[in-house]
Amino acid sequence: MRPDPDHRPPMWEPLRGIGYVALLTGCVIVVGSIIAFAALVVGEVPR
Amino acid sequence: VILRPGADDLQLIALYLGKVLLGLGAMMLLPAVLALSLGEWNSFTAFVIGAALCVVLGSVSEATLATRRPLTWAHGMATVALAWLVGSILAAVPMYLSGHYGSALAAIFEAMSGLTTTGLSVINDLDHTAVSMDVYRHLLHFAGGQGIIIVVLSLFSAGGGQMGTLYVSEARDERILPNVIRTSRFIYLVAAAYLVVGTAALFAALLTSGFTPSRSVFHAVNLFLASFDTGGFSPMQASAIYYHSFPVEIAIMVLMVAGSLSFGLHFALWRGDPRQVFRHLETRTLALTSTVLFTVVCYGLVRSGTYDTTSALVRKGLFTLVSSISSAGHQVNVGDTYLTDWGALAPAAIVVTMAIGGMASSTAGGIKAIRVGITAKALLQDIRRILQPEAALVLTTYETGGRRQVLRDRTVRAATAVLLLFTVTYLLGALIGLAYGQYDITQTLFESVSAAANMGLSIGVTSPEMPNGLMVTYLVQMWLGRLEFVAVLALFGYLISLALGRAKA
Repeated sequence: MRPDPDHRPPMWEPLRGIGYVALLTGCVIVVGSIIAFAALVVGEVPR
Repeated sequence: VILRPGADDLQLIALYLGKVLLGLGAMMLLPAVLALSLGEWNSFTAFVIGAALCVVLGSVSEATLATRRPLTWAHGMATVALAWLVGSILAAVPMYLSGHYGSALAAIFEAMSGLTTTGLSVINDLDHTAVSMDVYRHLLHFAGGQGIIIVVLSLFSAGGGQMGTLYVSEARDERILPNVIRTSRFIYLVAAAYLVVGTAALFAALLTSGFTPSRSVFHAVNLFLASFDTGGFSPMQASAIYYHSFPVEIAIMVLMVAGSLSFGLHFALWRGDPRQVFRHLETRTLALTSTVLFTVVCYGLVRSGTYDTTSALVRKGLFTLVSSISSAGHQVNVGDTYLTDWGALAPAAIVVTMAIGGMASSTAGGIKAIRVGITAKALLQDIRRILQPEAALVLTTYETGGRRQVLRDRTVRAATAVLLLFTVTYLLGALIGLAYGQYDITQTLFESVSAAANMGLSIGVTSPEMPNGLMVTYLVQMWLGRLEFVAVLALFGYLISLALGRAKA
């Protein structure tokens, strides 16, 4: 997508952008939790 | 034949340097007003002295050096390299006057760390610093992150043509919009939107953690500046661990992720095109490297028996990983923990993550994912070339900025040259650290990479008591890393041609 030089962002565009970034962070945390859980199972930590 | 720059070239550089100092002086007035309203008289005097110095130097250059000559690439490069250096020295004046720094060098170190969005700190007794001085430290992240050059550009210039040279040499060569002024306006719009939403989210998180409303506002603003600008300074000595709050850590994480995304991707997300996130070479590179490295971090931490629950691994390990990818450097561990509790594997993976850093055209530091991605693509292309018949034409493409591009040798050379320069700087810093005989290789490599990649995570080497030589080493590393070498090397070239060059005809 080529940026449009005359584009003026409407008010809700920033919120959409921030929403996507929050969603991306959520995905990072979910994937991270799966990896962490798997590492604990494989690593067999003495409890 | 090297041509010696003439007096008119130096005049142009000094003129634009003066404009940068005017911008810095104007920025110092903000904490000065805060100090005045809070009755912090020592800080107020310090800011007024600092601002006066900047304004006097800037005004003298405006009054005596004004010229209509256009800025060339060489001028722009030399100006930017000098701006960060001279800017740090002048930004250090109020800090030094605050009495919280052991020496002028320590204050300059802190200012450089702020302006390069590194976040390594050598302040004494941070927890009892004046409110206005703390806000000033974090404002330096904002000024450096959003680019002091752009500040000047939007304040003092009406045109866009010759300012473009300054902008490009600031290691942010991805033009999102065709006009530099429009691009910098978009960058400020993104920052403003995150300022409102991010500060509100942090304010709510801090309130629920038991902070009073006024302290919540103070911490929320500072944490926003340090997280979104991927700086890493903190209002408290203990960094993010001070809050012991999961909601605060989540809000910081979202802001760090936002700060590590290139402004081109922000543009795509604002326009409702999230598919670009998946197609972009940088996000793909980061997804792959961070997944592998987080697995290594987890494996290392589990084998060392550091944490024995998923939530602890995610809260400590993942937060640290995101902090190092984004180059923010917020810590949820006390510095020594990396050395005493984390074993050898997990800190090593964090060092690699720090070395790579975030995305180009963001406030993140490090080699940048795009260069790692391009180098990997080039290696694959070479392997394919070997396997194909000699006459075969092997083309490699990659997607960036919403466009599919052909991998060209010139791009590969530029990427690998910077990658090599970063690697050499990381190793040289580690070697210099080792020469002091007080630290081991884990400590010196960790801290050296953290400084040169403008990261700010510390394993405990950086402190007010560290040797002066090491402080200078990290200071130079922060400067080189922020400007990604090119502008600084151009400045050195300028100095060499001043000394050895032949006069222009």
